[in-house]
Amino acid sequence: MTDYTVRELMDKALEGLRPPTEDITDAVLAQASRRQHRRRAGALVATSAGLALVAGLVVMLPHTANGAVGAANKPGPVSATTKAAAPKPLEDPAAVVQSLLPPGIGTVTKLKDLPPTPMPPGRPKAKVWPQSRYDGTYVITKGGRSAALIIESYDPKAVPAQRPFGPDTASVCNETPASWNCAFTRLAGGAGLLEQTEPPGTYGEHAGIVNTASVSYPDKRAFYVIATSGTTGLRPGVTFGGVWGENPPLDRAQLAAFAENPVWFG
Amino acid sequence: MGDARVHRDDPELREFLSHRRHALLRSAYLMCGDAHAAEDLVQTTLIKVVLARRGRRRIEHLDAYARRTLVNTFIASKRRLWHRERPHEELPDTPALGADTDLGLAVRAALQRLAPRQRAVLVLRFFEDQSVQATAELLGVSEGTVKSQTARGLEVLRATLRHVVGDAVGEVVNEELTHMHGVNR
Repeated sequence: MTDYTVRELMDKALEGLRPPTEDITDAVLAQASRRQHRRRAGALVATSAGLALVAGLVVMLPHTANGAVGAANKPGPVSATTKAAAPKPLEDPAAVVQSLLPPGIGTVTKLKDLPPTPMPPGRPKAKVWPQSRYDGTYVITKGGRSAALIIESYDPKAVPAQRPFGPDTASVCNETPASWNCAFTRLAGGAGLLEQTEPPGTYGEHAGIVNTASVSYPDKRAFYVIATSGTTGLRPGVTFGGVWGENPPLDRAQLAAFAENPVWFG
Repeated sequence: MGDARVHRDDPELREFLSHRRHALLRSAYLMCGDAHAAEDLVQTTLIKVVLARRGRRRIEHLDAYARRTLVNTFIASKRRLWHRERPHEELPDTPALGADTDLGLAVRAALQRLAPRQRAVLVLRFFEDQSVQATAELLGVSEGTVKSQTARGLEVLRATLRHVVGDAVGEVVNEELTHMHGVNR
């Protein structure tokens, strides 16, 4: 019987991996250039949209605050506001997100989605799945600081069909030693809520502490939101502001209430 | 394509893109366990490297930056796409005993049993021969986390591969564990 070191075992695992035959240097440089151009254009659009949003919110926010009544399952001052708000769907996803956040939190802007990862030459193009209009990355800015909310959802009844996912298995929560703070709660109606807090540097180099809330429903619907403390690197080459702070703008309870809101599947 | 033409004058970047791709692909393959996913990961990494190189940040060591980007992109992708990560449900419990090819398959399957970060730690420590300190810096975690992730990952490998190559691998991995504990304490 042969003795193997870990390195030798890994070399065995690599047997059969063929070295790349095509030089993709030019393709990589070209793809990077296209991304740069898109982001420059996106930054202009985002700035314009942000200004328009600020103007619109001056009218919209007082109405939202007045509508905050009712009880919530989760404790915390904002969860009550968020759960009870369940506003009538608005046209602009950023405005909907803004209306579900604590008043005065800052300005919310939805970023343009990144293009799909380019495939190597000769491979079919990556499938672009239809998604909810709320899915995407939202940047919250206030006083030169910035944070982000990243939303992903799945509705099995959506037409055209969306990419299915869920429920959250969160195997990372079982790592030893526990570096993530995870909690699972069974909600009324059979839904499940998984809350996670991960330490700085895990989600991204500059994302800071990250809170995540995911809700999985018995009918296979799923909603997933990530709140980061920083935005550097979300869109390389684009700066949205300094780090929000030590923690994301929404704590776990607030983020859970945000995730549980029925507006996402309204 | 204007920028692409301009950056053709960056010989270090071009040389890096063309010569380090295969090395990155090997590490990516060990982490992803799939050639297509590994190619995607490497291409995404290289694009990030190019964008960073063109950005304001000065990158002193392209290779180290690329390695850091590769592992962090891998972990982040598994983190975001948690719904696709079901390593414990789809793999055979006892890979078939046979030739070296089977051993390679078994090792890949065993690696897929690990959490993404454990996988990245083992690849960095044992395949790329990075120190505990360097691995911790690359992943942005403490050295203690690297040590514990290494120990746990090796234990899983040993338990999984014992079915394939008997106790020989167990003994070797045991030695690695003993050595690691002795060195890193």
